[in-house]
Formats: sequence, structure tokens, C-alpha cells
Amino acid sequence: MTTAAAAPRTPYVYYYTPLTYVLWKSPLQLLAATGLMYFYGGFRGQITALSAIEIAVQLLLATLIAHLAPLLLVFVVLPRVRDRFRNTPETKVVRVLAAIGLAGVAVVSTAHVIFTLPLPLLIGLSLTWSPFINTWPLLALERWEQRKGTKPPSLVLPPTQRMQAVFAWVFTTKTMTRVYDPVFAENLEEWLTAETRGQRNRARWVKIRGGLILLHTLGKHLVAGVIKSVVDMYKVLAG
Amino acid sequence: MCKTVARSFSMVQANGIPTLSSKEAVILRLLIAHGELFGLALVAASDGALKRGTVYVTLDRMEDKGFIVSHLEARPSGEFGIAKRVYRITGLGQRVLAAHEAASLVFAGGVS
Repeated sequence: MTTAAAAPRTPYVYYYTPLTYVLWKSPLQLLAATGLMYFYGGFRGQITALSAIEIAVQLLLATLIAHLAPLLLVFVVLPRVRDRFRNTPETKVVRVLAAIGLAGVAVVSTAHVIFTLPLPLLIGLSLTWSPFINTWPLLALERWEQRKGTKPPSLVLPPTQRMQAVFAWVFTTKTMTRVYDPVFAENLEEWLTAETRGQRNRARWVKIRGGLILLHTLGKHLVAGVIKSVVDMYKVLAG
Repeated sequence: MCKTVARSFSMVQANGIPTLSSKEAVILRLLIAHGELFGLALVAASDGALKRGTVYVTLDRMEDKGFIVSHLEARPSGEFGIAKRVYRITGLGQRVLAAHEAASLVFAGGVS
């Protein structure tokens, strides 16, 4: 059995544990991830034996497993069900029910992420106990001490870039330009103002508040969409 | 009862008159008072009547109803960031608000 001290340390460990906890959010997913890592020998010492390609493959596998069911639902089951009712009065009803189901999944998933993410994060961040003790965050702290003052500050990414790309993938262009782009634009402007004035704490607060406003807008938009769908369904049923 | 609920969420009442919620009325009043405004300015001018998390969904619905129109703010080329959306009231919006306020006055007079 290899010892932790003997194993070489590579920069992979910086990214590995946080990515594990962020990408595999639920306890079940975490358990699956743990099994995968044990299979690759991660738990028996340092996880530095893993190459970047292996890490990428594991992330891809876990993401595929976690998202296979919803993908099957959206791209395989729903089109078949819809085709069965095509050109019949029930078509609209099926679409509305599917929309309600997907909205429900979105709401439950959001609540699930909010309520389960902090626990794995706390475990991962714990200095007293962690399955990855001696790797992260202790090693990260050690490296941080080593490089402090020797490296220029890293580039700070604007808060909206990734999230806007995700939303643009999910929603239509009309919805994006009317509902979500203005939210991103105002958040980005507030953040830029705070950053250019050197108000780092205010910039951080703007990021957090921007996320909350986005969640609020998303919730309101989904609820309004479901109500509209129910009304449309009622109109179809009532003739 | 189902018809009442359905009607309350639809854009047009059974008699063809467009519906106008209290938040929509607030937005229309602000746009009449200030001309063109963007969402954050609307929230700031509303004294707490509008929330940042809900204002754009409401504005989207109002645009569908034809009460307001919007366009992207003109920005100098090469400037970093996303263009903000600016809103302006339409003639229909003005007429609907006027009718809404007239009806409110009638009902207020009737109650007192």
C-alpha cells in the first residue's frame, strides 16, 4: 500500500476535490463518485496517480450517468408520446402536462441543489476530517503560502459569462432578450462599477445578490409559464 | 369558478378589454412620468412597489400585451458589457391606464 507522503503531488489535486463536490451534488452521486475514485486507486493514497485524461473521463462518465435519465425523457420518451397524439385534440394537453412535469423537475432539482450542496461542500472544506485529507484544502493552503507574493493576482471573471451561456442554451432568444439579458446586463454593470472603484467587497456582494435576483426571476418566470400553460389547457379542454 | 380563474390569468377579459394588474399600472405611470426607463431605474423609482426579481417578467408580459415597447440602449462600439433594455409606453398602454384610472375613480366614488 502506498503512503500518502511518498506519492508525488501534482496540480490536479487543486481542481479534483472541488469539482467532485460541485459536479456530483447529491449524496447518491457523491457515493458513485467515491466508488469511481476508489476504483481508480484514489482513496488508497494520494489521488495524484490519476492523469488529466482519466479525470476528464470520470467527470464525463459521472455527468452522463447523472443526466442520462432526463436526457432520455426529453429526447426519447417525450417525442414518442407527442407523436402518438399528433394532430389530435390531446396534443396540447400532452404538451402542457410535459411542460408542467419539466417545470416540476426544474423546481425540485433547484431545491435539491440548494439543500444538498452545502453538506458535501462543508465536508470537503473541513480541515478536521475529509476523505481527501492531506490533499485539499491542506495542500492548497500550503501551496498558497509558497506562492504568496510571487505571482500577480489572477484575472477576475465577470459574474455573468457562464450563467448567460447556460441560460441562452436553455431558453429561446425571445425569452433571453426580454427577460434574462436585462438582468445580466444590470448585474454586470453594477459589478463593473464596484470593481473599477476598487470596492472588492461590494463587488462580491453584487455577485451574490445577482445570483439571488436571477433565481427570483427564474422562479417567477417558471410559475408564470406554468399558470399560462394551465390556462391554455383549460381553454382547450373547455373548447 | 374555473372560468373566472382562467380569465384572471389571461391577457384579455371576456369583453375584450385588456387586463391590467396593479404592478403593470405602476410601471405605466412611471413610464408616463419619466419617459424611457430601464428595469433597474423602474425599480428604484417605484419606492418598493416593484422588485428586481420580478420586474422583467412583468415587463415581458406587458410587451406581449402591447402596453410597452422596448429597445436596446445605444452603446459606443467596443465598450465592454451587455446593452441594457430601455422601455417606453405605447398609445394602447396610455389608453388602458386612463381607462383603468377612470374606472378606479368611479368605483371609489361609488363606495364612498
